[in-house]
Amino acid sequence: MAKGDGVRRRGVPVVLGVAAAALLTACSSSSGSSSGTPTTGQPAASSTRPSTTSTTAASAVTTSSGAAPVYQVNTGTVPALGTVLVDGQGFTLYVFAPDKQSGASTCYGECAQAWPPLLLPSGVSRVPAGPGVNASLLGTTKRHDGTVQVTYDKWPLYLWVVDSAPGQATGQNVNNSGGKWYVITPEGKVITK
Amino acid sequence: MTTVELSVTGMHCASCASLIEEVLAEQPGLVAAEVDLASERAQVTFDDTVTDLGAVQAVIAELGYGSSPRGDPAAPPT
Repeated sequence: MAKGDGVRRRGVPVVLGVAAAALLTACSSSSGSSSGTPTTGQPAASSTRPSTTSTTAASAVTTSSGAAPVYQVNTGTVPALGTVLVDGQGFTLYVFAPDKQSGASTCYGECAQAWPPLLLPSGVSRVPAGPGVNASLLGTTKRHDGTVQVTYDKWPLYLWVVDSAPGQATGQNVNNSGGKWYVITPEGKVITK
Repeated sequence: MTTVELSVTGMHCASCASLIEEVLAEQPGLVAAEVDLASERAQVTFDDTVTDLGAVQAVIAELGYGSSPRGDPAAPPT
């Protein structure tokens, strides 16, 4: 099992966010798009994201539902990108182009530390779909460590440790950890701008 | 203007081809890009004063696919 596999974002230490930001700086050849990236490259040191144990929905969330488990797939709005998939707390979800819509993840180790997979908790087998999410596109894939990652139209879904608040998509169109990262719409379209 | 034909490896679905086309189309200097899943080929036309083949291949690599220029047809034996 690769080190760091299956790291959950809410448990990611601040130092990891800094490391991820450094990684982004070192590896990215992103176009630096204006796609809703108000804090691109900012480390998570200034993060306001809720903690793992938080039960309070972030007030800034522009999601289609209220309180929801983190692993629920919802829709949210990102400036310049429109409506995209977000997790249960409103954080933007990403797909990794090298996964090639294969239904399986290729992001392990350091990649999974910077881009934590959206995981189902042990004992949960069904991915809850928020309003606007096409439940028939939701699925799961088993990771090397046995954890279960959520997929959408066969794209494994990830978070990005640099995003510090709902509505951000600082990972959009970033080249990191071996490939490009994009947001995905409720229709299953990968947005590449 | 330069047009090259590439062999693209690693594609397994129509969306793979369309994603490559879409991303290539957004690159500065790219004039046209057609990717065919069945033949695993891409035909790319670009302004070689703006970009080059290496940049095109780098974009494809960032998406997780391999590419290599297809050679000219073998010259007839003399």
